[in-house]
Amino acid sequence: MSKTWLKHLLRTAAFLLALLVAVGLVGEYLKPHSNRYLTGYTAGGILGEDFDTIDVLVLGDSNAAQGIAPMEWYHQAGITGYTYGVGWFSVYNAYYRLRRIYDEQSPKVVVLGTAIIYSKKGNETRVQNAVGDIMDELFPLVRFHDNWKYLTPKNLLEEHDYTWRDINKGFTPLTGVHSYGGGSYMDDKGVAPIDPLVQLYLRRIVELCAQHDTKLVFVTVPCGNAWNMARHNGTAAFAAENGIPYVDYNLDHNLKAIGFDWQTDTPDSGDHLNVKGAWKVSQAMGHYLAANYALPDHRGEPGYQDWDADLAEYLANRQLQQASVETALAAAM
Amino acid sequence: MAYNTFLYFGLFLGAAYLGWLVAPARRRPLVLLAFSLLFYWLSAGRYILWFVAAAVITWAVGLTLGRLDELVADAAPLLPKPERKAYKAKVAVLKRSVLGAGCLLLLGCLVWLKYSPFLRKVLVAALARVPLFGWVGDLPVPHWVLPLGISFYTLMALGYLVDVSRGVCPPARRLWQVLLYLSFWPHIVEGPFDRYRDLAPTLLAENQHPTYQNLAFGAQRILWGLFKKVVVADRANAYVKAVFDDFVQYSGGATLLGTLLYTLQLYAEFSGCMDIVLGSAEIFGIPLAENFRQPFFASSIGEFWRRWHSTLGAWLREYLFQPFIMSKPVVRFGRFCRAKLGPAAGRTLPVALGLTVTWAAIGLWHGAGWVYLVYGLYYCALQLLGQAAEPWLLKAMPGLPAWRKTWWYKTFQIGRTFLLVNVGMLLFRSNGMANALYMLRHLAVKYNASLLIKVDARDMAVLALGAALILLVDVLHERGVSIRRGLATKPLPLRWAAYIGGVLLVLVFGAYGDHYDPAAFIYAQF
Repeated sequence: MSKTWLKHLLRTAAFLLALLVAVGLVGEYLKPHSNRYLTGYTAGGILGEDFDTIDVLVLGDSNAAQGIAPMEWYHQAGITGYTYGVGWFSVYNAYYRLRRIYDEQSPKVVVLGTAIIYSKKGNETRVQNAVGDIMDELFPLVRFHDNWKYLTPKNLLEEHDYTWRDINKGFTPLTGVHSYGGGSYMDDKGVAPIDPLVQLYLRRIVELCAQHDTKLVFVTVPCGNAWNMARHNGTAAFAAENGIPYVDYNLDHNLKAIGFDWQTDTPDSGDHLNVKGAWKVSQAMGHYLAANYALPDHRGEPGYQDWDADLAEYLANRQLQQASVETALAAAM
Repeated sequence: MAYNTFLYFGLFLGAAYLGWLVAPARRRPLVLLAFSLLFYWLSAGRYILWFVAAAVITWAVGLTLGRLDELVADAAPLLPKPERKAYKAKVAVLKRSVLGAGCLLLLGCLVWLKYSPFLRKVLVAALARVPLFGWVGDLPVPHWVLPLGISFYTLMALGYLVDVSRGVCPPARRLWQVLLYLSFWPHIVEGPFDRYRDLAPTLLAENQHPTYQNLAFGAQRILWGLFKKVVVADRANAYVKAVFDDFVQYSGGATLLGTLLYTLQLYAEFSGCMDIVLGSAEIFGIPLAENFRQPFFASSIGEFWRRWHSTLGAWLREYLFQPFIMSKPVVRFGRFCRAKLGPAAGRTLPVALGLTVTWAAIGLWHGAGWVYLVYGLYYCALQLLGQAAEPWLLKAMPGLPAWRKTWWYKTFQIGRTFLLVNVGMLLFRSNGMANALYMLRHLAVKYNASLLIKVDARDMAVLALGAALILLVDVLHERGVSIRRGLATKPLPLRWAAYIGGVLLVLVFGAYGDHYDPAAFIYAQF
């Protein structure tokens, strides 16, 4: 290699390094000032929790955010959990967010909401989706670039405050009722293949969990419009291949066991769950977790006073939500 | 694979450059071919077969034309003089037949895939009520998926065949040469229309060498294109989409702003795309044809089209307009007009006919539909009206030639052209003629609500600043200032600060992510 070329190579490398530093710094600067606004729903609240207090972490999309209420577990058995649910979440996002969460938490169980295995946003190809999501994760600037709009002279030099906590622990309660009338959706006998890139990142999640001595579980929240037997079979095959327990609440026997009713338990005709559906699924999950994993009861323990206070507030809100959903149900019938 | 995605400039372009860099110099064109075919396959999947078929036809026809020329060159001198002329004439007929067959095959694919749904519609509208032709209404409605870049590679292939037939350039001896010329990924999606004779010396050369300047200049140009596309065009899209898709809700200022923003969007997007593709080719040292030359400084419609998508205009001028007006029927038509209507009509009417055909082709090239035909004929009418009015204007305003040299008259001409182009843009973007006429009528109806439609004041401010920056760069280019060369002479810290600032500008102010609905490249659909 000639001297000139070496010079150009070094210069290019130095430029790219300077560029990376600049992109990194601006990305950090543009992150939301509060962890409340880090993601859609309230997933960012996990960063406000005390270190190493979450025993069960749920990773998923809107189905998880609106369908899994971890405070039900705390109420039942003192299990601390958090639902990290983000709209249009992907397996790629899940992998990088899990890495980030491991910096602060040491969950004993990670529950992966399987809807993200097959979801795809927009008209992009799966590869474009993957590259876009991975870039989002590697370069915070890409993800938070639009936050320049919220800069004001007042907050220009304000420090980030990531202490906000969510009493619902990532769960977003919906109290509307709009029944699902699509009929049976779990009849297909085929197997929906999992995209190879998705498989790659699922395996990375499996490895990451193993490295942190975390048990991984696949869970599918009932979803009448975006789930089917072929997807179940594809997910079950991957789970079996990798020794991952899998619970699909869409299966008839599971729906029956938890008393799920598509007439009353969905706010949007089968896409998501309202609180009635979420409580049923969450309580069943609580029983499953308590039965299958050695998860401590933290109620009343020192260091968990905040959780006890959160539970009291959660239960008070739950009563209001119960009333609200009953009113919506009466109106819908 | 869109040019404005991370997948393209982050992975594909990087991998292509590295692959090209490490390959031996004489293999580099083959690396470009491999990546071009990969790009096509990633973007279009199995439709690559249509492309490969077109390339094989082009190569075979070109080679045959070349062989026929060689035949004349080799055999004619050996023949006795009296037979030589007849022999040449026979070969010329053969050449025309081969060329015609090749063009028909290529054009046939284009017409079949792109225009058959429209032609069926026209046929049904024209014949369905005619006795005995009722069956045309039962013809199936074709729903073809257009192979990527078919309008571009077909026209480039036709130009190549005509050039070979005219002896302007030698035929490509190897199939890979035609494959690479037609599929070269920077120009397959949105052009420019590169001529084989201009591109082959660098694209097919076996001594391609990387240079730091090419890399730096190419990267700069890609960055500028991304700014236009991601910061300006995609931001304007939300407003434009709202106004044109739901046009009955809007009038007056909103419709006007929607039209102006569409003009800005299309310019920023198409010229931005050209910057990305020319920059992409430049890093490999391949100079593609320039497609834009500050079109909004044009003082007439004709000049506008010589500055906007100029390679399409040049292609049609060379391969459609000129052969058309020189063709025997049109020459006969000219003679007929001269005899019946006078020498002026004999001169102007064939040209007017040629212009009408060419503008109709420009319109229809953009899409199969009446609105596109009207779009092309709108510009034709403007040009013909301008030419017809010229003697009257000179008679009515004797000072006109002198005024034309003044700055204020030039400004008036630029403003007038801009206005007329915006009317054309409204026609082009509106989803059908009836909608266009509705929107034009409602420009005069006052719009009382807020003009901030689907965008907030901050987005609008970025849009205004982005447009101002594009205008400033165009002004400098119009004055012959080369910004890139100027920047290259600045000290390193200043240059790096400018480049890093540019990247941050695109990343921070780009209209991408969850809050935006960026449009696909508009010209990629043609």
